[in-house]
Amino acid sequence: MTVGRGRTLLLLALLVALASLPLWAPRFWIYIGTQALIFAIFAMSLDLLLGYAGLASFGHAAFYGVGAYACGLLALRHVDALIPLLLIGALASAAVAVPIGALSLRATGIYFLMLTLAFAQILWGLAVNWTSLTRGTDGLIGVPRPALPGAGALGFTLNERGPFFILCLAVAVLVFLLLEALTRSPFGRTLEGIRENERRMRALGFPTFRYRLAVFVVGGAIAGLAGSLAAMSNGFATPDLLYWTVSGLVLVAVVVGGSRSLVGPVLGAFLVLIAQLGLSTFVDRWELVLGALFIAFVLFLPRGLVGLVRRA
Amino acid sequence: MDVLNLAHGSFYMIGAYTAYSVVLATHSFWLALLIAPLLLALVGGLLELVFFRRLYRHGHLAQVLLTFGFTLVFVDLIRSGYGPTTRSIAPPPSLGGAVHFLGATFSSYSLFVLGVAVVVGALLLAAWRRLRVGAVLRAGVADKEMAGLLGIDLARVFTLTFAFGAGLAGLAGVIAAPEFAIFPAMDASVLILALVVVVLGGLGSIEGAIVGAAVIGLGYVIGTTLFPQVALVLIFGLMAAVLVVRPTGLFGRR
Amino acid sequence: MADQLERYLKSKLSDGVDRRDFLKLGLTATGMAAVAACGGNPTSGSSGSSGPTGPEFKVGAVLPESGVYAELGKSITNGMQMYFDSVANQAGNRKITMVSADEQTALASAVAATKKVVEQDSVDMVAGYVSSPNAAGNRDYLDGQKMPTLIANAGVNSLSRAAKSPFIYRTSFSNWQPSHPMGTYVAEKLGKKKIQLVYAKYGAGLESVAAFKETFTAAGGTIVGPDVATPFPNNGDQTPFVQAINTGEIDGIYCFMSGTDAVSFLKKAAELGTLKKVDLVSGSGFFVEQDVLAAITDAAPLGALTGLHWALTLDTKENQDFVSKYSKKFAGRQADVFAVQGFDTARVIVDALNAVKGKTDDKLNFMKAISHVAFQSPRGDFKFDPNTNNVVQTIYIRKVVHNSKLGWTNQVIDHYPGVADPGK
Repeated sequence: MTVGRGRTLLLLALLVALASLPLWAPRFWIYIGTQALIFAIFAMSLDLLLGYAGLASFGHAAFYGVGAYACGLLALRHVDALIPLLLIGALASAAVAVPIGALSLRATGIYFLMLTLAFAQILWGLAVNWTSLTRGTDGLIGVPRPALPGAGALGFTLNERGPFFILCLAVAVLVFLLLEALTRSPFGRTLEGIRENERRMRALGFPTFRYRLAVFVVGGAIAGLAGSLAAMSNGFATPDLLYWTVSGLVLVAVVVGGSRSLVGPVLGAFLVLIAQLGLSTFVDRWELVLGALFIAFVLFLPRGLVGLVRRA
Repeated sequence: MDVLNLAHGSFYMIGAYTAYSVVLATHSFWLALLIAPLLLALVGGLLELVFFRRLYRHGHLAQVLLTFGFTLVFVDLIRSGYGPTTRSIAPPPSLGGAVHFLGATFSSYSLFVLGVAVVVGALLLAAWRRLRVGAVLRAGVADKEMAGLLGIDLARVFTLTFAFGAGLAGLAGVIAAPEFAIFPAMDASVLILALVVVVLGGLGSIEGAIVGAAVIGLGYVIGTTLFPQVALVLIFGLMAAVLVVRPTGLFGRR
Repeated sequence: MADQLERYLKSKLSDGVDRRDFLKLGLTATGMAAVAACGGNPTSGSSGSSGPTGPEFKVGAVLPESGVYAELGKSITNGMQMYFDSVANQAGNRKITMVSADEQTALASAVAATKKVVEQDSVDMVAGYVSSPNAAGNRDYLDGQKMPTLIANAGVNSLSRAAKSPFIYRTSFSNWQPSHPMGTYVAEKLGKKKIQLVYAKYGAGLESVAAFKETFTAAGGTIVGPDVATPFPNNGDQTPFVQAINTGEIDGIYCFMSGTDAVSFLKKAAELGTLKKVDLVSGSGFFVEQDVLAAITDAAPLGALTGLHWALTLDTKENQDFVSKYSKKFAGRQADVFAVQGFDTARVIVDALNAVKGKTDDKLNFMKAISHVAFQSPRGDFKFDPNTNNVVQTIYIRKVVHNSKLGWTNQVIDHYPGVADPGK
């Protein structure tokens, strides 16, 4: 019970700190904060797979990238409505996740990890080579941000950094609540059962494969949603977004934060992204620092940032 | 050993850079071929003793994080030591030319690489199947506890195996140095390919790794000839196809 | 020395020194660097009452310090540093400070680096960008901020054409430039009419061979297919690509590759003896620029002809001066074309600052001053084209030779002056 209350308090503190960010933070840090929030949504979607369903995907960037391209392509065709642009990323990624999941989930453990990696790399190759659609290595650039109905009357647009940050925060909170509800629902409990002992769950009559596929598709859809936001935020969608290093980075974020907690990956995403984008612009030897940080984490905080909070 | 080591590509990279340094200092490729694997075995053994040993219990994710950290550290160290410049070494003079047979042209060095690969593969396979150390390892992979009960000092075996694996990666780095360019990001591409090979072949199986390498190698060459742009994509497609049909690789245990 | 100070500064910054301290440090450090550049010792020259009195002028250098392009970033930074030092880090009564941020490889990082220097460091202008997607991807932001910007490498044609901005000028080249004269040269002057194209398939490769093809076919040449297009970057074996060169049916090849790709390709080609079987090896100069030649040494394609806006051996006073001073300043490091681009970028900044007497508040006026900058660069005549905001320059036809003093290098054998990108 105390753990639960500590978690709620931590979450509220985090939310207040974040919501007020546009008021006090320098513009650059609002930008980094926006990127971190988007990455946090992405990381939560992976935690759903990794922490709750025990599916270590090493190709999660595929869904992030597909979402970004879907949103970018639609926005460049003069669609400027927010909701469709957000949903198209989620839908496109979900559509891609169905076949990838159906094939990858036949394997487990490292084999599953490598299969997801393989499919992500195939999609990356598609993004690089299908130049008529994706413009190859240059990527889609100049993706405009959508309009927010009624915002004009209130005197702001999503092109400004503060409002866009709040939008990302709102989406992140919604995703968090959704995942929280999902993991506590009978569906979530069944997933945990499958993670712990699939054979037994199957014997009890659960269609385990369908459960795992369903959660894989939901995870993909949320990653696609994050991809949509990324395309709007940055104004581009490039093949880099689907590259395996991005899959690695988000996996690291989840592990650093502490999986199976949803909060952990959020913290991990902030840490990793601020380190990667923030640190690298300030510190010369940022790769060394980041690497040493990860090593230290494994050795001293094996349960991630969340473990630190829980212990305190 | 059931360790997922993303820093294995770094061992390869360090092997190549060691070769570069040794060749620059002594002009002897053969000396590099001796020194680099020994150096890397030492590095690998130390890393196992200090870091990996604590992590076998924690599963693959902790290993991913730890070894990802090491790749970052190693690439930064290499870059600050050697600079970001692309380097290369020439093949040893005796292997610098080309050979013609069966109406095709091959570079002698490529044939040498092929020869080394066959010899190393055969030795590994023989050791794996016939020698005591192979039996011990197979026992360790199959069932750690049982092997421990049988009085096998698994900790030592694992350290030595890890060191040996790192040494082999170093050897590969030396062999690759005259064939490809040497640069600080060279670890990433080879790591992914190595993982693909091992997984396609099936984990914990030397036979699998050898067959996997052959399949991927052939697939890559045929791929580059037919569809040069998407050869790498084809490799992943190949692996995906195999795993979909046999979810534990060609030679993996069910 | 300046290098060390720069590093010291950064380490201080990362230790959490606050902004004011940083600026103070910056002033003393650049002051000392200036003294060093003048060759004096710190005790004799630095009492300088003649230092600039205007506000500091900060240049945000967005260049790769990590990743595959780190080498190019280093050369460009060195070149800029060298020119700034040569004018004691001041112009138009303002102290010039470089603030750097790591461009890395991916666009997301380059965007973050750009925003960091613009918003956190409040730089007065931005210079850099090695990779074309990164330059193109930051274009709208820089344009929107009305941020005076000099592109110091990225060659994507569109920045001189559809995507040009009144605030973005390019001191390096457009991909079109080095290759366009080569088509004429190969077909007309050399009379080689059957050429196969070999290139790394990405923006720069495609735009370069397209420019070659344009003039080559117009002068009666025939492109013999199929093109040899390698993936980019190609970390795999180059053998199948080398063997795809159709040596029996062509007079030669025209090639665009650079850096690591060029190194592994040329080595494999040398081992297989492929390039010896064709009459002509030609290409864009990056294929055999000094960085590549230094790596492959004796695998270099002797006699290969390439087009580029500079050559190490270019026999002008400005160039020989630059080459020897560069090597002295940076511990024996050989100058390369990227260092020249950095050097010229810094010179454009300094000349423009002097022209407006340090008054840069009127951005358009400052950009106008930039557009009027013209000088004798190590690469020859340097000026901007008012139609494209891109540099107008001489393209040299160079031949790969082995020089007893310099080792493997490119010797200039012909040139096309005043090559300007055809953008409108």
